[in-house]
Amino acid sequence: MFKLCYISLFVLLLMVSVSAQQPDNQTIFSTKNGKVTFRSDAPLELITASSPELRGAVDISSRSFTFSVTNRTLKGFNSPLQQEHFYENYIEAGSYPVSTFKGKIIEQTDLTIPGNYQVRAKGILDIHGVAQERIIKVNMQVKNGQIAVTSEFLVPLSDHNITIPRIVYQKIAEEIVVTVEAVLTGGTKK
Amino acid sequence: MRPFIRYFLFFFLSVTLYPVRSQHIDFIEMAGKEQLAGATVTTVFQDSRGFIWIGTNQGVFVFDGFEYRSINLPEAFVNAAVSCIACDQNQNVWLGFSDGKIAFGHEQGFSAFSPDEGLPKVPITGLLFTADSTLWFSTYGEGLYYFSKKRLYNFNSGDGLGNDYLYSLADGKNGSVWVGSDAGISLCSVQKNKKHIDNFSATEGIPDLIVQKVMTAGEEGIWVGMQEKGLSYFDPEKKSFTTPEGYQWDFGPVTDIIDYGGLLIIATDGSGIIEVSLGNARTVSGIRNNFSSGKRVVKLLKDKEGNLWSVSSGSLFFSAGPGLRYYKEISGQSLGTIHALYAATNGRVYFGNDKGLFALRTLFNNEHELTQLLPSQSSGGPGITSIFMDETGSLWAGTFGNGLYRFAPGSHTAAKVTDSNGNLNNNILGITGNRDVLWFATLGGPARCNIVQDQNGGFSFGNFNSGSGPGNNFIYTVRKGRNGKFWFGTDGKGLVSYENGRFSFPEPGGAFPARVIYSVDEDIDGNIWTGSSDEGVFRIHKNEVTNFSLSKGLRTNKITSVISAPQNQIVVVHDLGIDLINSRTGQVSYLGIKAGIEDLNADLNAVSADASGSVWIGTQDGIIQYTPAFMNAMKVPSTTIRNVSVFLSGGSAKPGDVFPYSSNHLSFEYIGLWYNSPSKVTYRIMLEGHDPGWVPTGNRVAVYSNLRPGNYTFRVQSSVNSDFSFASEASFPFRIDPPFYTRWWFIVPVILLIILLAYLILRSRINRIKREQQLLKEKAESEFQLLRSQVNPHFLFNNFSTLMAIIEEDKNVAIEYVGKLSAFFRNILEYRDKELIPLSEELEIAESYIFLQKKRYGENLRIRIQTEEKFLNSLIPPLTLQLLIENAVKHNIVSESRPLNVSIRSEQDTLIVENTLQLKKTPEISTGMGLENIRSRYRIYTKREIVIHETEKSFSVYLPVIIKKGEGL
Repeated sequence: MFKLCYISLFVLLLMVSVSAQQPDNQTIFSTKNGKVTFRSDAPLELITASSPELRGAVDISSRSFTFSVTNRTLKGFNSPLQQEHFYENYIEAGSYPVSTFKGKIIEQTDLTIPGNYQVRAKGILDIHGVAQERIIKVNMQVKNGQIAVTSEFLVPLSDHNITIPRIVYQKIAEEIVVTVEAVLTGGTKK
Repeated sequence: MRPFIRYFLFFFLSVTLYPVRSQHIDFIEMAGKEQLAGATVTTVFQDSRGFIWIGTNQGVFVFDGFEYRSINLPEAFVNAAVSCIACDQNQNVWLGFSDGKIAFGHEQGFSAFSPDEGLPKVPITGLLFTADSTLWFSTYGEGLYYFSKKRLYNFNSGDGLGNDYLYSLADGKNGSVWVGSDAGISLCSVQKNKKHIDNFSATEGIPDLIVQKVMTAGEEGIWVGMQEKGLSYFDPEKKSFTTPEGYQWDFGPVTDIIDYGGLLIIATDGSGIIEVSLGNARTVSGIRNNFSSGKRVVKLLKDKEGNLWSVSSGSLFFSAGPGLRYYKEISGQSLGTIHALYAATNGRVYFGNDKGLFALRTLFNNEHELTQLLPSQSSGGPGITSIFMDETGSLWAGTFGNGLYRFAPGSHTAAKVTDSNGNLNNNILGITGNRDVLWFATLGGPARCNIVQDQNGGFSFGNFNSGSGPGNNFIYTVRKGRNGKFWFGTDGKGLVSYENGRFSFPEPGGAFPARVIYSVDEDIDGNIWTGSSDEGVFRIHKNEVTNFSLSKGLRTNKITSVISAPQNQIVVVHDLGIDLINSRTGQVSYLGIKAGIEDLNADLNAVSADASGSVWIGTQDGIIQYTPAFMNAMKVPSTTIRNVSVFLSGGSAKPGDVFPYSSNHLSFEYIGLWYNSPSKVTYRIMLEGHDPGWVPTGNRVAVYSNLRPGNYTFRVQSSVNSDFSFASEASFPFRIDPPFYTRWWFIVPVILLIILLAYLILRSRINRIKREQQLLKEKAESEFQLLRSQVNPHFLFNNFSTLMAIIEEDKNVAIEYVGKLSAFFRNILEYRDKELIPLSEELEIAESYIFLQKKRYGENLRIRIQTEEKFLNSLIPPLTLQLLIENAVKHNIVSESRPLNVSIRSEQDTLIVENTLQLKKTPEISTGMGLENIRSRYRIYTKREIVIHETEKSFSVYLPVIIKKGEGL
């Protein structure tokens, strides 16, 4: 877990150093307290959990981004036992402490100009140690030197080798709805 | 025999290089703004069923050879420009738009393609489906996408793609695709969920990095069309580009490439269409420039018939493709009627027209070398009727009335060859020969000479006229057959062959079915084909003769020429055009009107096949070059059922549908697609289960209504002629359900219901009859009771006692009393049989009874009658009142101290008989039948019951008033 955190920190630092080459532009926007929510709407049970500790950064000059969340920060399960099952049996937070999504925005949108943009983020979604290439629709609102990011997408459990015991099949959805809300602020002005 | 040989020299020679523009592919404008509701054509595509889809800046149209149908697209697509079209394995058509959207559907309707991942915001430049059904599309700005297992993936420069600006897309092998971009070409594939990209550009030797078109070339590599440097070939095995040499590409950007097999048709932006003929090892052997569909050509399409379509200047153009070329004029001078034609092995085509004898040679570039060998008739030249080049290279030209000319090998100088013995007739209609001898078809019988010149440089001729020859002197044609055989077409003896010094007829008995044979040729299988003047074409296969005429699909039986062509085709020339027979299957087709072939009026045997696979045909208006390999001329119209609609239901039905009996009005819209000559396609249809056989029709819609329930299959075939044995067929099975009222699940319950109803009705009738009988019985009983009560001896005794008393007092009153008594009894007798009597009459009876009783009881009996006037006509069972009064008197004390009050009054719809209740101490013996009788008699006539109301002081009977029918109160 420390190792992965270290890596994502390293990526962030790398971006910072890349952006440092463009001293006049504020190109990297980041957050440490974005909100990520997941919702499993199964026939017998609705489970939602969210984490307020989504870390993320977007470099608007290269249009690359990275987002990560520590799995154990997801809270709000229906019972402590359920939370324990989630951590230990499904997401296996011991082996795979962090879920990440990093890549590049497809559109050639100029995010320095304030406005609302719907863009497609193409990247690698790494959950449960299984990396999948995904294109995810994202709304970006650029305003007052901040970028508000919202997105909703589906994560099929089968994509990431998360197997559900047959006995709880009716209680956990095969596709998890993930929503992301984050406000990224420019922090690398030099 | 010393032949006199005279050389007649022409010092007449001219060699000219003419820019011949006429032999290019002739495009005609098919659809522009006028046909397409003001829209500008952007692309064209043929779907798997054969329909032509026309993409425009305002939606998409479907063309079937007749009309341009505008296709409804979802709202968001209405004003979007179509940039590319593709077709999937399920016959769905996919449209890519220049704003990045994608739609899919069919003629009846389209839906937006909207994957969760969203769609590009840049133009879609190419759409295709690989063999594994994966959808790929290239974009101008976002790289390449593929859609697999309901998820969209992207290849772009971030993944290693050379460039994100892609111009075109082509199918590679094994699920891979080629793309062309500003950075050369790339081969993209997905293997085990991992993207593979191979970029090929400058390192591999691409001449120009900007690749606007990639096209898969056969099994091996791809053709690359570039921005500036034209054409290049990439071999993926060797990983190297090869650019055909020997020409200078100065035609601008390549926008599209079509491969006709040895001939590439290239669309350019600025220089029209470039045709590149390829020799061995993809070297360029010729190049032509064609502007007939405009300069800026953006898209080409080779349809299933081999026709070539092009999109240029916002319009759609059509041509028969490179398979048909026309040589109508050279340098502004029309070639006119071609009298004789010969395609020699030296690559030249020799022809004779009214202007003389010419040699035509196609040069590498867009030019032809035309050499005049003999002058026109008007300037003293001969009329050429036959041309032949023997194996030594000498050219022979036969004339009509002017004998024979010979050009020594390589010479352009003509020498007239004459024979003083007169063995060679001056009218020479045909020449052929082998290494040793030449044969001539003349109007003086067959003639022959040895090619080897004699000592004087002359030729000796032998003639086979009527006596020694085929029995007729008019010989129209001669052709060399196999094994030293020669074939002659005669004007009266049909087809004659010559072998080993003997003339013979191919059929035993010596009579060929047609007397006049104009032309003959042998196909590669050794079959002999002849064209007759009046009876069509005959095929001779091992002495078995088969006739091809109108009934087999030829358009006429008057055949000008037949000649064997590549691809097992027999080209049949006649005045209406060119028919084709497949020499192996016997299928008949023709070169269509859209291809520009009509009313040829060709001269006899002005046809010749060259070594490179073309047939040259002389017509009254120049020369046609037909290359079977570049066309699919034997393709039959592809029959397809376009739509099946149920009357008034709007929607379209699917094969295997079951229709209810009520919506039994089906219309089938079908078409045999044949863009060559759409209007010449005829149909035959059959509804299996309804029609006993095929029904020929020219309509493209068939309507059936009021079909009986059952299983049906609608079948339709289309053909370009009367022969349907090679036709393609489309069929549509369906079922009409029987109406609900013939189904067991309806009939059985209905029968049960009817039985139940009948039973209920019967039972109620029986009950009523029983009840009526009961009532009748009761009535009879009541009458009997009444009678009995009236003749009660006490009543009589009382009356008599009273009478005795009166007689003594007053005789007159006694008489009146007896009168009343007898009236009373008469009334009883009179009314007892009646069922109902008016109340007024009943009151009369009651009064006479009251009179009698009054006489007995005097003032002790007080009877009051108060009935309203309107009740007097109402009805009442007879003697009811009398009975009630009698009952009152019978059971109650009537005395001076306790007088009995009886009142009869009406109240609303009730008649009330009330008496004071002062029962006698010793009750009268009562059967209780009186009241009960009244009650049951009333039941016969009214539903209302009589009501008996008894209090301590009074006893009342409420009688319902019965009203006469038709009269109210």
